[in-house]
Amino acid sequence: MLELKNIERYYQNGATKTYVLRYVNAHIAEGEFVSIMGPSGSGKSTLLHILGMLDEPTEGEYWFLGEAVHKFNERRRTELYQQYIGFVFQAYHLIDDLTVYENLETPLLYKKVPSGERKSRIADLLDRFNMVAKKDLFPAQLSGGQQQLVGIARALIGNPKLILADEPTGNLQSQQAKEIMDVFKKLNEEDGVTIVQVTHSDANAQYGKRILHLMDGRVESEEIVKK
Amino acid sequence: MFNNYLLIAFRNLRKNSTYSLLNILGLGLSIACCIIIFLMLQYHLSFDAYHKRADRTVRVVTDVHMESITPFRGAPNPMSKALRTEFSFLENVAMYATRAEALISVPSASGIPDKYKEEDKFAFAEPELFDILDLPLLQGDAKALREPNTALITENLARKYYGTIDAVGKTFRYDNKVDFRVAGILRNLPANTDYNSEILASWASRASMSEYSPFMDNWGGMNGGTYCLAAFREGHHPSELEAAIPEFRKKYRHPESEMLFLYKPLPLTSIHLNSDYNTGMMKKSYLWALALIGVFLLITACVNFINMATAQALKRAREVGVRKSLGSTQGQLFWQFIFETALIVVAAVVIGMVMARIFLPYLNTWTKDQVELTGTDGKMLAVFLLALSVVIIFLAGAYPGLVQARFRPAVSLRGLAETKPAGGFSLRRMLVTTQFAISQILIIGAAVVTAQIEFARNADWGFRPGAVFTVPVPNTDHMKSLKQQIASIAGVKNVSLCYQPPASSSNNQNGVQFENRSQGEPWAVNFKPADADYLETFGLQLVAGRNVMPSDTVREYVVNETFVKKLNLAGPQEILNRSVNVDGTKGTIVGVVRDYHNWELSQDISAIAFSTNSFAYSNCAIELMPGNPAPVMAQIKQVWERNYPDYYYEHTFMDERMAQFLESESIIMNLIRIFAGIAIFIGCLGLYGLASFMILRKTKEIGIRKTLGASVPGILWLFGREYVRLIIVAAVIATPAAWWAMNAWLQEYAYRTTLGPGIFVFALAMTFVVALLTVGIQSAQAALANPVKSLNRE
Repeated sequence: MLELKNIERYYQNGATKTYVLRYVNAHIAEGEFVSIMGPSGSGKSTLLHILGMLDEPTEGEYWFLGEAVHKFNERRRTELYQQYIGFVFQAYHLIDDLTVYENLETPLLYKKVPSGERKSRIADLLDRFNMVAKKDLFPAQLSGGQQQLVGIARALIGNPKLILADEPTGNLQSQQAKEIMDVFKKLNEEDGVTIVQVTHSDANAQYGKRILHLMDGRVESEEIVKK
Repeated sequence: MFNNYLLIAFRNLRKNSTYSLLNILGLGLSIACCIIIFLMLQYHLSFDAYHKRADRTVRVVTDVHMESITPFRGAPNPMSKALRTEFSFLENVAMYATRAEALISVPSASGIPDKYKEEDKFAFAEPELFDILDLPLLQGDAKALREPNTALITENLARKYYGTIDAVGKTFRYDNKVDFRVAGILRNLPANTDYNSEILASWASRASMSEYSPFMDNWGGMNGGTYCLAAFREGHHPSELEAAIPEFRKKYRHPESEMLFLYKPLPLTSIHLNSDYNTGMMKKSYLWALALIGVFLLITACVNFINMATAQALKRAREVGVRKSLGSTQGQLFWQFIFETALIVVAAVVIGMVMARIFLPYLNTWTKDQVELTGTDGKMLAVFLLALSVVIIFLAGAYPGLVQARFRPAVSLRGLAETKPAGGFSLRRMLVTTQFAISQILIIGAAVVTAQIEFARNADWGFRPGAVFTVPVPNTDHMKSLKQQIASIAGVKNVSLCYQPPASSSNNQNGVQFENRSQGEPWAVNFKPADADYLETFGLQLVAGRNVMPSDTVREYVVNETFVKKLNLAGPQEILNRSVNVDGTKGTIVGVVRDYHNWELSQDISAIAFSTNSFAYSNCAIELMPGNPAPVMAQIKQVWERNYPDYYYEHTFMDERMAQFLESESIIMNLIRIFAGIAIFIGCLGLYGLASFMILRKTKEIGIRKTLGASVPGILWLFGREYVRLIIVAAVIATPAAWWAMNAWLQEYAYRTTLGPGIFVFALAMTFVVALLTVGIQSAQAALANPVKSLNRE
């Protein structure tokens, strides 16, 4: 599904270059559930942002469904992104001034989905995540776990093929974390959604099928999760 | 999509309601000022442009060529007749002679006529006027003006005099002398015309009145309010008339007068703002000043907006990141921010309209204009508002929108804005510098204007303007007994009969011939007929010789120092006992008075001659003893009304007259000062808001510095340094610009305040005060705060 070839990300500061990512090569197939692990500052989030087209590599090639993302301009990247990718954040990143319903609606507005279809899709998802009663609440009125559920629902609303999750349970208590991870697992196994998550937690990594270990911007090792 | 934007915009505004309110009110105030300034500009630029033939109509004015050229707004009485016979390219020519005051008596059922004193409402006009200006009649016929003793009045006056507009055939008496028959009713006149007399009496009646008949064919002089209007035939141009004038004035001139009048056709629409040939208070330079302040207001408001929006952008950075991660394009984000700006601007425009509506009536009372909210043409205001909104939205919204839309989501999602928005920071500096520079220019401008007003107010006019007042002398029959009776009232110190007070808007300008010099002097003398008590009453000081002896005719003259100087005599003593011929009347010069200002301070003192001439007296000047004036003045009124039962009593104190001299100027100057003040205030609002955001951002830095041992003054300097630098850069830009502009303005005044360095230092100091108030206090609070608290907050 996607392929990274010699991805580099560095910041030029005068004559010195500070590398965040160096010679990263990776291949992720459709339907996979991959975890990216590594210590703080190893470049996990940057890699995820590059995968999610929110950040650009300084060097290297990024192929997504056979298309050369590294050659795209912003508009075409956004189109590709709108069609295939959903993002879930550690800090949920719901828009504070919008209700649950409106938060779910926003990606559809950007995709110019007609009003009737918007309504039915949102209704479906609210139903699926048991949040119909909460649709008119603002994010601040929800618990962390509930906010993250909204975050996942929002990532799913556009029917993405790929979900990128940046420490999705980092701000949650263990029980809530487990529920969220179960949701991911179900999505991967039942709906065939490809998932890439960044995580610190070994327990969370066990939900996936493969783990990429990052160290100082390089992929240090790769591990297949044994069931 | 717009629903979503609207929701976010609205909830955002509500969340920061105080800040939003300040922002909207500040912007609304600027917009209100811009609307008012626009309407004033439109009003003054539209004067007399509505006439069908306005583009081919001129007023013939006169330049009086003596030792210097004096522009004069009038033309001699026979001008229209001569132009009509000489030039076939003129379609129509008409005289229009205004009277500053008219006493109108309307017969009433009780037998005692109702009396109205009408100021600037009465004019004599030739019937051709109706084929030049648009003066629609509701009833009657303009041709009736060919007959003597006919008049047209407006519907307003018809209602006022007769209670109905069906007033054709009714009569009134003018100045207790001449009866007029109403021959037609004029539709009410629009506000934007300088030809606004509401009573148009026939020119033929003027010709038959004894005080005018001798002068109807006189080319030797003219009255300021007597205008000659001419409409060219289609396809002809004023330059044709201009070219023909040299021949024309050789043919039509006063045989004895050596004065050369050069007549000039001025386009009708250009006259209103031409202060040389118009009496109105609005000048082009003031309109420019107002327009400039309007632009400054707009810039200030936009700078505020940009500063606040970019400062706030930090708060919005995360939202930008999230939206991008949800699939928003840069363009969509840009339009979202533009939309939010538009919402604020539209709210501000509505508030601005409301404010303008509230302020306009006060402004009109004050400036005596009739500026209406709909403008002279409602569409223009709508277009202006639309253009203004679009300009503000893009000026204020585009940059912050662009900056925010460009935030990279990978960075802004972490709650950080770009740490080093290199362009943004220097842009902000530039904006703040612009704002300081504008404030300084406005402060300097306002200070210079104030200095000039004070200079004029405190100027030594050279005579006593205080406890002296004048009452009118309607006719010469009773004036001597009036003077005696008033003089005998206890509490009256001096009484003088005279034509006009020492400084007046009514004047005689006459030719002078000194002794046996073969030619007249190349300058005119301001001739002031007055009795022997005049110098004493007005406190004019003799520097040589003596006062005139009492007389009813011209026998002796007292002149002023300028008169002596213009004759190139060595000193005042030289002129005593020599003879002079003023306007054909010989007399001996017996005294010289110290120079005083006989005009507004914008003009040079002219040569003046005083002499007894009881036929010319029209005022009685009275100086009171110190003490309570009220009972004395009541007695004076009684005495006056006993002598002149048919007339209107009114008194005018000299200081009121002086104030009137200054009034028109000071109104506009005050207006400019107020607008400048508002612009400065709005600038302060913006700086205050900006400073509070900057300080909020630096709270952590302050905390860290304090824990590292920084002193409070050290931290204050941290903020101050930046502003001090910007203010000094602004001063370098503002000072020369303001100096140049204000110096040019002051050149219009013959007597003016000096433009010393004090004013510029003052402006700089004021800017520092402004900065101190807006930035300093907040910085001090931040610097004094407990570092533990400010660090915890992070």
